[in-house]
Amino acid sequence: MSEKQAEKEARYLYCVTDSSAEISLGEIGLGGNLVYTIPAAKLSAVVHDCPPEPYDSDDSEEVKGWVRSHQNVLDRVMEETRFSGVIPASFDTILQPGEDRTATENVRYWLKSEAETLEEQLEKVENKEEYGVRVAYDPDWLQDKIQADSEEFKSLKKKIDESSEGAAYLYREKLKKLREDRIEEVKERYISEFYDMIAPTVPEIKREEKRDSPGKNRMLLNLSCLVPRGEYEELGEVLERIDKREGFDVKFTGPWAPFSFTEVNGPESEA
Amino acid sequence: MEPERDEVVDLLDRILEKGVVLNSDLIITLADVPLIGIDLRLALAGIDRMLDYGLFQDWEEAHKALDQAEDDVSDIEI
Repeated sequence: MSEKQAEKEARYLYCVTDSSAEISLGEIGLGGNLVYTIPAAKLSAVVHDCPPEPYDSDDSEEVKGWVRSHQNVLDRVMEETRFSGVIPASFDTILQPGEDRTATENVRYWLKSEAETLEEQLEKVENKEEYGVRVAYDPDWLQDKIQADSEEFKSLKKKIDESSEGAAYLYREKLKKLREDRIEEVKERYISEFYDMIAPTVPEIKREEKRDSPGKNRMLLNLSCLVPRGEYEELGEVLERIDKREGFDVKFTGPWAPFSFTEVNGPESEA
Repeated sequence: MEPERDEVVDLLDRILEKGVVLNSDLIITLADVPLIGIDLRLALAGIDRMLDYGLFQDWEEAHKALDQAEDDVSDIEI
């Protein structure tokens, strides 16, 4: 951007909230930019002014700072008692000016055209916050446990020791398959056991994609929980019980803005 | 058990992948959004940690991404 007036013609969006007041939240945005609300239709968008280009950098410290700033703004909005709900935007959501509209006008246009959905979503997450729960298991522990438990394994192992090389190979393959099946069975059992422990402690819960990797601990459950502000005690107690069990590790994070419980799509193209 | 706030992984899961979606007429779009997402993750979380948590959904994709990004970020820690 070379022209000065074009430098800040776009609006970086942090979230939508439920107050139609025009408020400044101070210079707490990405890069110390002034964060303020653009009200429309009983709602407002929390934004800062920025050039019409995405935030991108090779400098990880800089990026880290941006992501934290984004999170801080969401925290501030959630802390403000005059707002009771927040619909978070993802990093780098930037509204640009249109051919015959400024970016601010575009923000208002979007709020108005999506008002119904936005209000519905805001109501759903009113005075609530999100917590992340990830339960991982130690694959070595699980494997040992399975093998120690089973007569089938013992007899197959014995056969391997006693057989000729060709037959032993087949038994080894059989053992491998048996082991994999057992691990899956046992994992599924733990998944439903833990899920059934956790789910009753929160009003709303969502299963996120599990992401397996060859790391030390593997993911068993990945959950997002929507909880009334600060009321995570019961959830925390259950998680502590799971975390203390041998072979399992729990990561309990939050509070986050309700990212996983707000679904709003943009209006259809009206171009 | 008390929740923690310093889990970069969880923050990124949310900030980079979730949140309100706007029509592309209104917003600045990136041709290579997923790639930028991966770069940001690598830069922020460090490769070892990424692998520990299994952030890559597709292992092959992960290796490709690693090959590309290894030199830049292997020395970054959180």
